[in-house]
Amino acid sequence: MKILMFVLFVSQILFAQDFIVQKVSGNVFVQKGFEEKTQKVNTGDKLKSNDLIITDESAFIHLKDKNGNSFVLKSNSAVGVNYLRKMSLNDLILALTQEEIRTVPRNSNKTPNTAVYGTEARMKKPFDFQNKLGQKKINGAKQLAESGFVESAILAAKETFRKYPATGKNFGDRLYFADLVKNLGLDEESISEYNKISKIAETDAQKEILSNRIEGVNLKIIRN
Amino acid sequence: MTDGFRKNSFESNPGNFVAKSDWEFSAIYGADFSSSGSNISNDIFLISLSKKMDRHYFYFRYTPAFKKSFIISAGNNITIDSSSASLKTTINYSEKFGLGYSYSFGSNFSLGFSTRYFEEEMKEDVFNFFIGDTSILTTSTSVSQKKFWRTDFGMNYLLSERIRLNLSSKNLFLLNENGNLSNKHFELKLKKGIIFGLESKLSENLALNFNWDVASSFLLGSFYLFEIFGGKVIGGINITHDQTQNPFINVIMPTVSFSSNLYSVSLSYINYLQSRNNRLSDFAEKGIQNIVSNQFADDKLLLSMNFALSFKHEKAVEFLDVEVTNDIFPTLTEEFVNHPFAIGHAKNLTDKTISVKPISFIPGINNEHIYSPTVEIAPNSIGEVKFFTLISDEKNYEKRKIDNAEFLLFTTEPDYEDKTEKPVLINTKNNWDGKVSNLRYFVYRSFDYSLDFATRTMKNYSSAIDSNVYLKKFNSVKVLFSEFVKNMNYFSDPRTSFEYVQFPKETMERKGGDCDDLSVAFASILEIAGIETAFVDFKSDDGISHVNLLINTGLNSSQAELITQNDKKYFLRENQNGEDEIWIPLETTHFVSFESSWNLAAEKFYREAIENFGLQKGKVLITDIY
Repeated sequence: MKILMFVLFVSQILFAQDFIVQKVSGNVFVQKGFEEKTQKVNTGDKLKSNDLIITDESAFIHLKDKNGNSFVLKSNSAVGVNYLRKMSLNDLILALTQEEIRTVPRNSNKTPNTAVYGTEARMKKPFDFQNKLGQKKINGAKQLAESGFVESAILAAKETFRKYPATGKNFGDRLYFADLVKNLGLDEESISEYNKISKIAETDAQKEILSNRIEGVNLKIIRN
Repeated sequence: MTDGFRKNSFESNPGNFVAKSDWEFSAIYGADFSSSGSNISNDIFLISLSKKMDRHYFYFRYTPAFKKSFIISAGNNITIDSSSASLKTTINYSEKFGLGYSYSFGSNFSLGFSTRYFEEEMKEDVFNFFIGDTSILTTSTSVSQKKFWRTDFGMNYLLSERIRLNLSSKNLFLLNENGNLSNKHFELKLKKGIIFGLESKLSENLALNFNWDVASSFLLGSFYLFEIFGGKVIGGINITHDQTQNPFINVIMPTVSFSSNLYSVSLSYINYLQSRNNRLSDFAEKGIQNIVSNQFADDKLLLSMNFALSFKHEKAVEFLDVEVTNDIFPTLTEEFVNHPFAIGHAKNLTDKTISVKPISFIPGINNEHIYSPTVEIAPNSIGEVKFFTLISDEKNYEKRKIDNAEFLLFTTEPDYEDKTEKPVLINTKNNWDGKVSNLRYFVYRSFDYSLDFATRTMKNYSSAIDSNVYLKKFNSVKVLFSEFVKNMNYFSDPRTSFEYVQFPKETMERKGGDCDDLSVAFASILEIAGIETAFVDFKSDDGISHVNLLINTGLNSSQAELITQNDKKYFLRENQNGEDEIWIPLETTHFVSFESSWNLAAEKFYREAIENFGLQKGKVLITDIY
């Protein structure tokens, strides 16, 4: 029986539910699967786990799955449907570990073929779409957390901070999600997050906040 | 532990233990100094011959000078008429020869015995008195003899690299051939006993030995040795306590010797600390226990020589087993440099730490013998030896075959110590061991062909490639892929029994292949064009895996919008500078378009690697090609 329950539990996590659009207000778009373009969302549309929902200013969307679970994405936000699920803490830890795998530097000593490509230049020009979508995703992740999908929110935020580097420079946003990690009792992970944020802390007040957070977690670890 | 040659003494080595040597001849020449110092007699003390056969050891010795005589005179002459006569009793003791055998149960333990032949003879003069016209007094001699065999057992145990223990009997079995001496009082006193022995190597240069005859005596010796002229010089001193003699320490025996692998020479002086005054009353009262060393023995100078008659090198290490752990895949060259294809176990047969050089030769892939890393093996211990190999590119690898691999163990000797052979499967150049990480070896093949393809294509599409300075790599991938898949077909592995991977040139010339072939071929083209690639290995529970590619666009995460507005289509990987770079998945078995191949691969990668935590669970493996 335990095994069966485990299988059911895992299945629910791995295969997020499809959602039906209950209500749409303003400009709401969906980026289907791996398509490049977005399309407008209408009431009654079916959204799958690979879809990304994007709302503009003064817009919102109300979704509901077949079990009656509903979610409202407020204005100027974006969220992947696959994040609208309750993850277990273990899955979150697994996902965070996977993130570490992706950051392991490759042991490459190959010299780039400069004869063909020349010295690689770095892009200075900002991308409006990318920056806006990144911020919308952070906004969406916050709403995930507020709706009780804390683990999904953390994962979505981490992904966004990395794929949309401009969002990772917002101290307040970074601290918000690092606090969520701390509140879940993931002490070492939260200290790691606070240490990463310290690289973008500019003011003394920000540095003091981080210092206090780290000290607090350390005290907790020592007491335990 | 101080000398490779046998100890030519059953007295201290009844177990007949031997460390090494095949055939060996020994001789001891000695000078006997009488107590007055006026008489020196020289004689051959001992000649011996020995032979070691595998674990068996045989020994024979002839001991012409192992003898002692006593003459007891009755006193004044008796004179009758004109006849006079005197009486004396002569007692001769001699050890004629000895035989020994021992068996080694391993390098740590041996068991053996020795048997020696003794003769005792007693000649007693008696008067013959004839009464007649003239009384005549004559003497005649009455002779009695005792001939017997003495057999003892002994064992030797090497407790550690530095300590050897010996245990042996004394006078355990005595077998009389005939009767006894007419006066049993003068027979050798052969008390049964036990002898404990300890040899200890205190350091590389200092050794100690101790023999304790529980009933009556002990011997303690200390030796210092050093190496010179390819041999060892050993200097030391023995002291002996014997209950039958005085003072408490009654013998001092300084010794110096030189030994090499072929011979040894030693000079010893046996010095009795109490003067030898031949008190025959003592002899008549106590007798003797030992023919050579007793209270009546004189000081001796002994010159010992040992010669190895056979120049056969004593094996220092031997194979216990060798297992071929990996078949040979000729294309996976570096794998066999980095990982052993065979692992063996070798035993150090000596009591020293030795360096063992494992060497192998596989005629089908090697041009010469291949040396693998040297292994240090502790004394009398077993060590693991790994055999690596180099794959010659001058051989023909068109057909699979089984070859006889030769495995050799070398030490410092010019000839090998041990040798064994094992069959090894040599696959064809296109065979693959199924590890996706090893597909990279196929990428490196026919690089010239890939270079030609890449150069030609990029030249033809240079304007498209150079249209955006940031997208040179990405655009190159696009045009190379579009050109690569033209007229390309998918067909599954033609050889079902074994993994078969085509070289890039073969795939492009045949216009097709399976996922391994196509990924290898396109990776080869990209790598030659300076674009980093990685294999993505999607494992499934049914054992059927799929391989496609991840390709480094060289773009950083801020530049993603240049190639896509869907962040699920790329994967960030950190480079050596700690910067994220955008890698895109690409399906090489989908020939419709670059975009559709990218989408298809991205969807699979996102689902299996990211959403299902495939990277963390080991279901999806990324192997860089470099």
